[in-house]
Amino acid sequence: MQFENKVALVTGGASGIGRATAIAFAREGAHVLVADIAEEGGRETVQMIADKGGEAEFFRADMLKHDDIRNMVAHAVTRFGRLDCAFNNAGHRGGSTNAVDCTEEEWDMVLGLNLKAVWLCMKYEIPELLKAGGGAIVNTSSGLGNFAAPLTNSYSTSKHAVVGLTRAAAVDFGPKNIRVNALLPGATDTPMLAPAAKGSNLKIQDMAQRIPLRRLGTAEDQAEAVLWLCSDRSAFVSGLSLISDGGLSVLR
Amino acid sequence: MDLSLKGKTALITGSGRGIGAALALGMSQAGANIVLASRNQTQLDEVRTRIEAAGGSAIAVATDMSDPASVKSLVQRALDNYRHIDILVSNAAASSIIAPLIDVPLAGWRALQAVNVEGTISLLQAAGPHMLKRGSGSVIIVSSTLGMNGNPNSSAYGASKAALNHLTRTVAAEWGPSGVRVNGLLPGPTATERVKAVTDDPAKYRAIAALMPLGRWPSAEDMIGPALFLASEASAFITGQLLIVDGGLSAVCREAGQAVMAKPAA
Repeated sequence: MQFENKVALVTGGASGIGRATAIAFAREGAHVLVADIAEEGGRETVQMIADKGGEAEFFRADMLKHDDIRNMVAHAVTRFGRLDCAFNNAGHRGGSTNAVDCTEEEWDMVLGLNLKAVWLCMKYEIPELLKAGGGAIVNTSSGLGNFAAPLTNSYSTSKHAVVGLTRAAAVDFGPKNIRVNALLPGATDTPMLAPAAKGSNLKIQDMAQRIPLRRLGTAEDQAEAVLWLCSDRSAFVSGLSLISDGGLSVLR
Repeated sequence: MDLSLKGKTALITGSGRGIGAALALGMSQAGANIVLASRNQTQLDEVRTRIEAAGGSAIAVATDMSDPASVKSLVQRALDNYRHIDILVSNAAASSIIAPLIDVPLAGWRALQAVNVEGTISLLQAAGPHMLKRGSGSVIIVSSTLGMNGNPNSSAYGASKAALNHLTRTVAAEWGPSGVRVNGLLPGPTATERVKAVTDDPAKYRAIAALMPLGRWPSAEDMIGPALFLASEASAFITGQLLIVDGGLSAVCREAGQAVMAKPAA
């Protein structure tokens, strides 16, 4: 039980990688605050945790609202007494547009949710981690945070920027015993992937054949990586962009 | 978070001291049988004794990584003893030739590449067929952030590590479809025997620690957790990656920050 008596905050915990990670944290003994704008999915995650004897609570938060983020972190501390690690994972894939077609509305929404919200989460999480004597943060970037793909103008930009944000925080708060790393998931079998494949000419089964490990990732694969990055088994790992994509990005 | 290696066998080169020895002890603690290898039988036997004293199992095989026949024999000993190789850690490396490139003797350069690069190639070629046929396993190539940066006086060592970084990616792409993962473990400056001259000098030690975002040097033991992550099922979807374990040192360039962010003179 790597996270016995620890408190973890997971944003985007209503589905996909966020849900799997919240469940994994709880399985390892953590008390988990599951945050998401999707109330039904969020409560379902909490129920799944409770069914296995774990401890979690749902907090509804809109990552585009500064106050929601501040209240979310405050609530984690009020409810569970402290904060030890955070997985800033809530994200949106935006539309399929290039630099010319992208609208200001789409840009503001995608950057607001995928980037600014991650910064605001850290803004409030870090003081609480400092009170706990240190801690670990993992920010969800993406394989598209390391390279671009067609029609990902705002998404790819936001995810590249999460890498920069992560490095900056690692540099600033390393001396205070706070480690900050980025997870860059590749094609992972979650609800976010399906719509991406639906409109394209690439079937999900074909996608797996392009990947050296010949399969998509599972949400549980990504959860394992997040847990490791938040544990003391990665005590000297900070500022890292950990790509978890079955080796796809090795190929060009 | 399952970092267990119960029932697995790990072959670790350069495991008589430093990071290799630490990984051997760490992986043994996680449940793996260990095949120890280096040029120094005495050092290997010491590590084997420590593993056995803690209840683990290990064999110690003196090996010359620059001799492909010796490497082949090492792999055969591993298979004879434990029947499988699940984890392959290519860690043996010759020390740096600390000199500007213009002064590096070509013979010295070649000898270093022979151990660091060709030794790794020999190991992959010797153990690869077994692991690929088995259809599973994890290869960890211990490289260095010196293979990414361009620090003066590190040309030979840095070039060898840069070659290993590339090999990691290529072999990951080649072995992925067979179910064998290949990743690099890249320490930054680490307080081991190899750099005693620096770490034994308090002023030098402090100067480098001050540059580290985490404010301290890592030890060889700090590499164990990352190695267990790469060796175990916890990293099942991760291959072809260079796992940098340097506390964020390579994520920072202080001089660039000072140049951009310096306040203008009043």
